[in-house]
Amino acid sequence: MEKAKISASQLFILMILFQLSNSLLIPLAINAGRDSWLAIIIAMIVSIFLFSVYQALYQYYPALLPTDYMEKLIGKVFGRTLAFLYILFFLFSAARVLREFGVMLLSLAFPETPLFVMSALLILVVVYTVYKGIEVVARTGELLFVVMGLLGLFLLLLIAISGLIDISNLKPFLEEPSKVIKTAFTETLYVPFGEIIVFTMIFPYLNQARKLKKTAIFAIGTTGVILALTMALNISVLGLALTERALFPLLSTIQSIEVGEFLERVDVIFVLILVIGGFFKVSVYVYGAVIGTASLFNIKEPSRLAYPLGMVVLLLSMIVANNYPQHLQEGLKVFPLYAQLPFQVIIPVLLLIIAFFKNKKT
Amino acid sequence: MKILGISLFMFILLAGISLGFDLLQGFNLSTILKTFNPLYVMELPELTVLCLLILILILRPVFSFLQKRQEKKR
Amino acid sequence: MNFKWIISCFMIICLTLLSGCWSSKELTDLGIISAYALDKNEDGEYVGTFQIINPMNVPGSLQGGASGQRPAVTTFTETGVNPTELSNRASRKISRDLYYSHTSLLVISEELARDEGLSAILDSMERALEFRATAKVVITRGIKAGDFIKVLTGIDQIPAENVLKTLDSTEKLYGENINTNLQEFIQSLTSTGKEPLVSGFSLLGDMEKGKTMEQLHSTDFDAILEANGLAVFKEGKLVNWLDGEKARGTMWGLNRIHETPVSIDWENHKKAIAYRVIRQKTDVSAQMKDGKPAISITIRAEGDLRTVAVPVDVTDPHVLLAIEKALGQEIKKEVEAAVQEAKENKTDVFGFGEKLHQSEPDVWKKLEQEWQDVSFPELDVDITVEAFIRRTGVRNNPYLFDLEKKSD
Repeated sequence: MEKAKISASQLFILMILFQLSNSLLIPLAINAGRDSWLAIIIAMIVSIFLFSVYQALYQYYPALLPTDYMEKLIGKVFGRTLAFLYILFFLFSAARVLREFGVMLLSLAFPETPLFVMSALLILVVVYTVYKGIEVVARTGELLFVVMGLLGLFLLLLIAISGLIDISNLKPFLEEPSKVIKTAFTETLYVPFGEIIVFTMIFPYLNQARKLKKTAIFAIGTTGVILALTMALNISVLGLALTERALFPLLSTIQSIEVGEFLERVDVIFVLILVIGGFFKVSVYVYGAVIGTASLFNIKEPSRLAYPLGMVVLLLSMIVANNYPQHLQEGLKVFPLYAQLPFQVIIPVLLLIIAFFKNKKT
Repeated sequence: MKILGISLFMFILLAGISLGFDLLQGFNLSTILKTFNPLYVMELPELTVLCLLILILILRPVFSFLQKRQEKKR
Repeated sequence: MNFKWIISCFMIICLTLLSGCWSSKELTDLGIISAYALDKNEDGEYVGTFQIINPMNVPGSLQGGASGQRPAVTTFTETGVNPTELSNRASRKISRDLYYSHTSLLVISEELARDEGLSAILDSMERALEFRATAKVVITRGIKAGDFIKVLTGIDQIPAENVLKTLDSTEKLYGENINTNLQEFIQSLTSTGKEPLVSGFSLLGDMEKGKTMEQLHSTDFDAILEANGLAVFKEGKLVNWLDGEKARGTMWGLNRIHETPVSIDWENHKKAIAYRVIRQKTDVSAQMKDGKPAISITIRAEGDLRTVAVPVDVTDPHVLLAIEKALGQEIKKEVEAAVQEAKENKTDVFGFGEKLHQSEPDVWKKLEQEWQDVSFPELDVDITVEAFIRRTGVRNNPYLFDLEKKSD
């Protein structure tokens, strides 16, 4: 662990930026159809319980990283193996996010630029930030949060003024309740809400431990509302069919903005949001992996790990899928079931049970 | 050196995991082995960037290794 | 004292000599040639046409007021028994010294290339210091080279510039034409293991109207210069034209494709799926197989899906895999056709001979003499094509897919 502290408000901002980043852009919970916003809200509420699990674990060992307390909970061999698996999970997630952002930038703005070069540029910025440590990540977050907030408000205003919103597109309400529940529990719970598991690596840096619960729940709530609002907005502007077909519904929404024949083609805002969000998500994941590896392998300067692990993420992001549809399918069908479900839900719950009994005895 | 070793080990494991996910998606092995194909079609500038990045990766451990050896000699 | 005087004299002499005004030419005395065309007339003499830039009339120059009223270039025609004589004889008509350093386009007519070959002309081009080796070569198709450079063009007002840019952009975006410069041309002309390829250009419309300023005053030009096919040379003479798919197949084999559309049929829909290649890599290697030379071509292309006019689920990676296979087949078909054509013409435009020379120098020595006529047509060529779809644009499924789902 490095000697650094972040404040509650910085954590709040980091959590919001982290969760919003790519979820804001993709058709989140679209399998729930018109009620995708509802699926998001449900997933958000469930994820607050999930967070309580992480938080309870943190309360047992407030000064330790998860990779350290796993060792205490289930023994040296198992604990270390599990911690290592978690690091791999973080790296893999980082690679997936990086790939997503690389492809998004390519399809939107730079079709002829090689993916590798684009990803390399993105990861180099991430590596530099992670090299500088969590405090820098947090402070960058504060800075960019303002930018993103203003852009978001601006967009909302523009969409509202252009009179694109057609609430009737959201009706009928609750056409297929089973689908909503299914989507909430099989997709949306894991991305983006379950992904806060990586923040367990950052909780120990918080300078006011008691504010954690309030801050995090507030952050999750805010994210959930923003995301639900965004999806509802997308569907009400584009209609369900177009939202389903769009790879980036928010982009299509932004592209339909026309205000007074001069405020058009504001797509560039989308690219800005995309880069800011992607940068934070990859940074936090890589930071989690770096700090975990450092504590697991006893490396005195964690910052020295930033570059090598960044390169691992870069190369992995290239080979993680042959093409973008395959990448998406993997993210919808395989990855949640075999990686996110165990790492985000099952293992933390099991660990909490073990921790509960272990601490009861003494 | 240790850091490089760890990173390489992780990369190999992760590449294996990525292959595993492809298998779970229902592709057969021969198609999966093409999974490295995003790295096949590389133009000169791309290759330059790749080589440069790897060079930086190796340079630092090598330097610190050489420094240590010099100190030992003293 | 004496010594000082000598030094001073020496310095003064140096000053006058070193400033180098010996063969000075003033800018106002130069006729800058932008394109040079060569034909042959009935008497067997060369006919050269010079396209000379009118500095006053080029848009963007300081005295831009004159532009738009007079053409940006003027052409002169002269005959001569060889290019050197021709060039100097032209001074009878042109008020300025011919200045070849900015000649960026060499135009040769089809008849000249077919009947006589280019060896004699190219020597004088290569020998002259002023003529740049980077000048591009094109062959006119169905029109005299001299007439070709008389046609006025619109967007780029200097016709030579227009032709060059067209050639550049069509090679980059479509891939049926090749950008050959003089140096490359001579290199492959002299190589026994490779034959040169040069782009053809033809004229659409009425040549006579194309020469006048009226042409520039309408939106729909009467005469348009169009890149058209690839000219294949053998022993310095034009022997064949490659068009359409064969031309593009050849470009694939030469690793000269940058961006190009590939369309395939899908489920009884003709050419329903279009794929745009963004980058590709072609590896050609030569090896010995059972004592015979064999060539293997490996093409790997990556790109996007651009048109999906059939109801097909492109979010399914398995479907994409099938499309990738079909695309690979389509590209392979093109390359095979091109190789077949080259074999029939006994012209090794792909440079397989050079590859063999590099990897098997001993075998090459034996085959070199009769490579084009005997060994090349019997060559075993193995083509592997892999096309990778990287993205599907900013939509996932085509709306036709949704329509189909609804009708089910």
